[in-house]
Amino acid sequence: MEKIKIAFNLNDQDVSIETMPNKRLLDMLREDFNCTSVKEGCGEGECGACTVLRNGEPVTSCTMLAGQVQGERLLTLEGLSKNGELDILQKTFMEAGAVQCGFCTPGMILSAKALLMKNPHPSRDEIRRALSGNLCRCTGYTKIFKAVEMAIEE
Amino acid sequence: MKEFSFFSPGTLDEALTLMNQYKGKASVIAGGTDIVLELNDRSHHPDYIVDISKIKELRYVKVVDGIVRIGALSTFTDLENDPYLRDHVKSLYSACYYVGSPQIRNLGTIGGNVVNASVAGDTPTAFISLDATVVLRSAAGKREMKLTDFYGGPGKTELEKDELLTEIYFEAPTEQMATAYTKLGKRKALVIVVIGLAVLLEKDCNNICSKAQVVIGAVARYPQRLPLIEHYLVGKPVTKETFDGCRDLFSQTVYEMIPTRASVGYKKESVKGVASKTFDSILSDFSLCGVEE
Amino acid sequence: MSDRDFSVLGQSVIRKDALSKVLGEAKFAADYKFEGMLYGGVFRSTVPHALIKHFDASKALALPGVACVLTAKDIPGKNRTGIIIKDEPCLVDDKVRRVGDAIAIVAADTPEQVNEALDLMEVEYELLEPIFTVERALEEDSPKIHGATNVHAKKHLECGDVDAAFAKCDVIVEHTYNTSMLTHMFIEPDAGIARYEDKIMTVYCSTQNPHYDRADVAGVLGLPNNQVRIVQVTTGGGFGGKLDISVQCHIALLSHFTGKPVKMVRSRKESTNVSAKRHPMTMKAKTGATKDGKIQAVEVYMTGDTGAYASYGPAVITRAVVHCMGPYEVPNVRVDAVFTYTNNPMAGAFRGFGVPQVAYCHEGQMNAIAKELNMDPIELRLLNAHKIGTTIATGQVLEESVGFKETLIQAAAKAKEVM
Ligand SMILES: Cc1cc2nc3c(=O)[nH]c(=O)nc-3n(C[C@H](O)[C@H](O)[C@H](O)COP(=O)(O)OP(=O)(O)OC[C@H]3O[C@@H](n4cnc5c(N)ncnc54)[C@H](O)[C@@H]3O)c2cc1C
Ligand code: FES
Ligand code: FES
Repeated sequence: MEKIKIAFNLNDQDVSIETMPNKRLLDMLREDFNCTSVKEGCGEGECGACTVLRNGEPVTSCTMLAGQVQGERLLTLEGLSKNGELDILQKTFMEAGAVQCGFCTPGMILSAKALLMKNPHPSRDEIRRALSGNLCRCTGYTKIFKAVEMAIEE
Repeated sequence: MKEFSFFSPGTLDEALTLMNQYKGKASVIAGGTDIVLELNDRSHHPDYIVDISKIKELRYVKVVDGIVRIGALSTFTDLENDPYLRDHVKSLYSACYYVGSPQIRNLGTIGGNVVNASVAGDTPTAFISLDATVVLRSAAGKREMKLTDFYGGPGKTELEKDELLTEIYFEAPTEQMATAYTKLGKRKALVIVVIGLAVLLEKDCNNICSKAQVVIGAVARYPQRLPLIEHYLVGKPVTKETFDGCRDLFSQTVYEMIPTRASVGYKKESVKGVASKTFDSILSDFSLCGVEE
Repeated sequence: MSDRDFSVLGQSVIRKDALSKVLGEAKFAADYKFEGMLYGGVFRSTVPHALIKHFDASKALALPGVACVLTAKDIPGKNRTGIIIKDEPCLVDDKVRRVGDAIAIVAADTPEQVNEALDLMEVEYELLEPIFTVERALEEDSPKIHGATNVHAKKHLECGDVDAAFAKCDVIVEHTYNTSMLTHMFIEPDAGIARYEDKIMTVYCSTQNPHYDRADVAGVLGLPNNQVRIVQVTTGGGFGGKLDISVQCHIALLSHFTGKPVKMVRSRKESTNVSAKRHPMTMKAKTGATKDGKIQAVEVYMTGDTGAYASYGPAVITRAVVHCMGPYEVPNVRVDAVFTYTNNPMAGAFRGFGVPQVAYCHEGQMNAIAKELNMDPIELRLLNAHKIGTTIATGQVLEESVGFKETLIQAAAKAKEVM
């Protein structure tokens, strides 16, 4: 079986790699690019821990093949803070107590980021719907919604 | 995941050539939300994967000469964000709106949903209620058939191994029609449908039902039209009383479809509520667009 | 006390690890990598109760990249683990006791090779009658899962004169309550990585119980405790489900045998299949009260299904018995509890240790009494509520911090707001 060459933009950098095609995007990001903020909670698209932003939209990297990101723009949590400056959501997640075990946090922050980029003033219901693909077993969600609301106010 | 060769054609023609060349050994991937799980757990292991997700020409929603045409690579999000569908084809809009999660709606395609032919698929139920037609293409040519016939065959679908589903189309609902889809599930998000009910209803100027297309999903192997209910509705006034009058018929129909299934007790009761919700939506749409003469 | 600095107490503070988590830098077990590392996997039983007639890994061993396949006979130390009772084999030796029992472990260069190797292993079983219910487990002629009896724990609690008290009651209600098996569904599937260097075995893992893990790993490897280190890395939720041993002994064995670091990450399916569950319980309860609403006597017979292995069962039964009157004063109490082994998934610790199960029972009984007496259910509860100075059935006097009444009053007010 032949290797494939994949070129894409990862966290604002153009990257390319030659790799075997039989891996998921999740595996390529974790293993070949060391983006271990991308977590595998279920491997079936259900939990959202593996969420990355593809062209600004949240997608589950466990339900995509690596080869499918050719030419796309990807953002993982590693790429969210700029020049050492935390994104507002990273700050409010800390301040609101929205982080417990932290396994859902990368995906949760990215889904929230995608929402705020499209809709800077979402309602509570819009926040709930935007985060409905990210499961959190620890917090009970209330503080996560609070953190997103705090980020809106800033 | 077992090994395979990977192709990512940029045009439909290239894709069809590959499908022809590797006929029977190649699998198509669109959004990947069904097939990647099968590849990853090794239950499916083709020699070749043809990624059609980069074929831009297959991603569209357009209305031409009274026909709504949807490209197979349109995602659930594309459909949910389409203003025409939201305002005029509520059944399809709702079926997409309640799919999985934002992530899954951003990836999952209409073509994948229709071809995958899962018992729990949401949009096929809506499409059948719209009496939709699928367009299938291969290097050799093009075929069209009603979605009901596509699912009629002995295999999973009528799709040949070298074919792609490229489009699904249906007649645009007129001002005299309303459509609705209700999904019953255990939660609000990330939920597998327990019962899906899609309805298209037309009424005449005397508020009499002149056409009814009623389809139930997640009960039989494929979504089923319910001729008994359609027959009951046609010729009756479009009122709450009429709709309430067929709640028991729904219950009985579901019972007869799955008399021995463990879920029958639950489904035959809950379908009444699902029916009421669906018809409430139809009634409210009729009153909103002010077509009562 | 007054000159103490209370600048932290009562304040919301930012967790120390929050920054690393919002940056995505916190390292969970699956995020660790070591030079030359192998991947491990487990070949598991697909039947609930059976003898192993024959096991063959020769095809798996012939695959390129496969470093070793180990079975029970390769264990250098003691092949039994467990928190309270050491009854779970690290790898099946005498027999299979549940679907998902570990029969063999494999190490290979890549996860894909591990999967291929697992596909190629062959096992032949001699099936034994499986036990799926407590009733069957308790029957004399049922097959015994461990030793001579399927009873793994029994408790009796009694105070006052229960029979005399019931005789004086104006109302008595009797009901049976069943609760189901639940899984924790911690979001991070169990994972770990073991490294054997300079005669020290270090296991980095997702766990809630590093000290217990150490004893089990040392026991299985036949090493003294001071040659085993367990490092609890950032752990993605547990809720009690990561108290039991998961991958630790398996990766330690593979690393010990190959001399290389070995990593194992369970799939969600594997994790769900073999991690502990909440004990399903049946509670048969009889509660008596006088007309004034005072509870006079409670009698409960409860059974619990601990599945194939004891895990925290002995602790769960104790808490269930002690708490089955709820936060209510009951002067006359008789509780009998029996937990049995079955061939179901292992039940263990899960937030509350049996207390959530018995809550269905005592709260159901309170509602039933309120209905019989035509009393407001909140009032009935307040009338019988624990307070400072209450003596509970075990003889313990509650000396401080009994906030039940205040909590109930506020909760009821809040409930009225939203109802
Ligand atoms: C977490 C989760 C939640 C989900 N929730 C829902 C839900 O609520 N409702 C629902 O209906 N579904 C749901 N699904 C299922 C899935 O998302 C849909 O079926 C989706 O539409 C599949 O489309 P895809 O593009 O991802 O298909 P893929 O996985 O890419 O393909 C699916 C199958 O169709 C074939 N195929 C795809 N496109 C074509 C084409 N154009 N021509 C020929 N063959 C093609 C592929 O070869 C494959 O066999 C869910 C899935 C997940 C993982
Ligand atoms: S790991 Fe991808 S959704 Fe759970
Ligand atoms: S913080 Fe643990 S799952 Fe969300």
